[in-house]
Amino acid sequence: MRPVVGADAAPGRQRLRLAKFWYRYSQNKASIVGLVAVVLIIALTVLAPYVTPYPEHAGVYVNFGEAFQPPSAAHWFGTDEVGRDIFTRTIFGYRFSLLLAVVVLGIGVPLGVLLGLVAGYYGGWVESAIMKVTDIVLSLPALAMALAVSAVLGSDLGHSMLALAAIWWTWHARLVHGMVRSLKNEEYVEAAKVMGAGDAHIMFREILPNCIPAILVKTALDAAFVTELGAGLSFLGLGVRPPTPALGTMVATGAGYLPAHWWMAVFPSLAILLLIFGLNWFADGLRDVLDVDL
Amino acid sequence: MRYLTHVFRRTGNALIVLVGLSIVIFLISRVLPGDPARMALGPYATEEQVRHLRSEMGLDRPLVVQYVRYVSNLLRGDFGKSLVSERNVRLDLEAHLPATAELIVVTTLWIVLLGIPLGALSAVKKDTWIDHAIKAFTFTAVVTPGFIVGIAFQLLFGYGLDWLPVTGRLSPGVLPPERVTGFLLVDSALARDWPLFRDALIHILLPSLALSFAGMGQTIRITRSSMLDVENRDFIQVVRSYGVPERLVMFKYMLKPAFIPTLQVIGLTFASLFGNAFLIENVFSWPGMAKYGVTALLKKDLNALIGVVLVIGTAFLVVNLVVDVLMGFLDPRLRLKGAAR
Repeated sequence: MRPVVGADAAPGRQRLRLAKFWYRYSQNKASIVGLVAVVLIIALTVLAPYVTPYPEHAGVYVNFGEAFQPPSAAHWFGTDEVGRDIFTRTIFGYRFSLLLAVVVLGIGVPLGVLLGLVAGYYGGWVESAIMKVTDIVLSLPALAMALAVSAVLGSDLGHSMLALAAIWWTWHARLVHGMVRSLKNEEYVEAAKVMGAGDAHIMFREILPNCIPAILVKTALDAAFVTELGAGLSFLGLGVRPPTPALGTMVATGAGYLPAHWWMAVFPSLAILLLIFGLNWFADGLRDVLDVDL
Repeated sequence: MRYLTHVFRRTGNALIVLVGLSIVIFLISRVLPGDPARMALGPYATEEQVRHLRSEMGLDRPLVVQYVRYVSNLLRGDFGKSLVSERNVRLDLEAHLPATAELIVVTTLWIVLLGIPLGALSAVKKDTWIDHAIKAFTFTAVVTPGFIVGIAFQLLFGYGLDWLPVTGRLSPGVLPPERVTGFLLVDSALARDWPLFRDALIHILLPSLALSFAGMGQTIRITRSSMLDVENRDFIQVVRSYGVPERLVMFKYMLKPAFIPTLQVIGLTFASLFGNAFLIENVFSWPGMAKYGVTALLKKDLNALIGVVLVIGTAFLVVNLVVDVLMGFLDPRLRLKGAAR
């Protein structure tokens, strides 16, 4: 039988469970900082047109009279080479990072989990074939692969996402495959088989629920990693087309104006770090709560 | 005998993956972009010209035939012509590979020479402020993108303190040494040209250190955790109770077994080194293969890009194979595990 998780829907119990989760999560100060950072960034990104001082600077906007202004009360992060407000563009730049993470993981994780489940559960040639392909894809640096795909298909946001998703499933396939191989010998799987459960039932209702915590933690860590890769891609000039702001592109442009106009590279870099550190700390907290060892 | 079987099995595995890699790349290059003949000739060529080039390139033959031809060309060193430099991609790769290889070798030196001692120190000083400081550094090093580390280094050591140059392999106007290996450090040392050696050294310091951060962090982590793993084993208790000096226990009996997982991690970080080199070479205007690859990418130079990806993939596989074989040598259990499976 399936281990009963949270089946008791009594509201009091539920609240107690949540309180326990929060207690475990809040044991680590860094996890709280991470959660705050991530929530803040998501909120700012969603509300970008309303909370940024110069939303029109995220699009086509040129005002050379205001170019290269150092940080001030009017422009917290200064202005860039054509006079756009860098604070505004940084907040809008997060949109690219978050969209990339959501789409890449939204495609890559379910695909990898499914293939890992099938490979681990059926074994035999299916397993060999899937895991061999996984090995091959993993044998290439993700960035180089993304570059190759972008090169062939042309570089825009859709292709960058496709390229990263085409690589990403491998990590989850490997993770789930490893877990399924040991889980499929558990007694409750045997029991389900004896009771005449079909393959699909065993895979999705018996085995998968036990893999979910590890997959969640891995996905949170992945979000940080995708953010890093996305920043790298846009740093090389791939991903979004100007004038749409992307943090990596802003850093690359700013690096050309070092050291005189240091703020152009420094603030977008710090923005990237805030998101990556935040996601990592959040993932650590999640790991504590779900008690996973990755 | 067992060991030889292990080596053969691993080599066979690597070869299978390599063949798979070549198939993937072949498919990407032949199937995805549509018509290579049309791409080579441009949009203004006539239908007649395209058909002619198609049969010349063998594109009208079955895919399997094309693949065999493609691989035999690769084996003969024919990577096809670069659209940008208009010569065999192999020549371009030979020109750019040494700069990247030198950067990566020096980076790996940092990872080993700094990562393992720091990890051991962290384990020995467990739960002291030294351990906490090293842990904080490790976390920062692992998650910070390499190009941000590079820019921070440029700002701090280059522009701020003015200690080190921030771009290129040599100072402007300095002629490179006679090419023997293509590694400037090695070639200038062979020529006994010490001022040149110094120039090459100060130029490679910042990029290699910036590139080493992620791998160094992982090496510190694994060294620390595997040393602590060993600490509680019986044989360490035995050695300690014999009265063997603590220093000897640490560095002989604990560090040695800890070295096996460390070696594996160092092998794995090699892939990320090649990936991150793309970004670091861009930051420091390092004239290496990644820079060549990015140029190829922006110019849509398919043959050049395939060459870069193939070289990176092959290098990664070879390093992993060497690591596997070494590990089997260091840890006999691994050979047996492979045989049992």
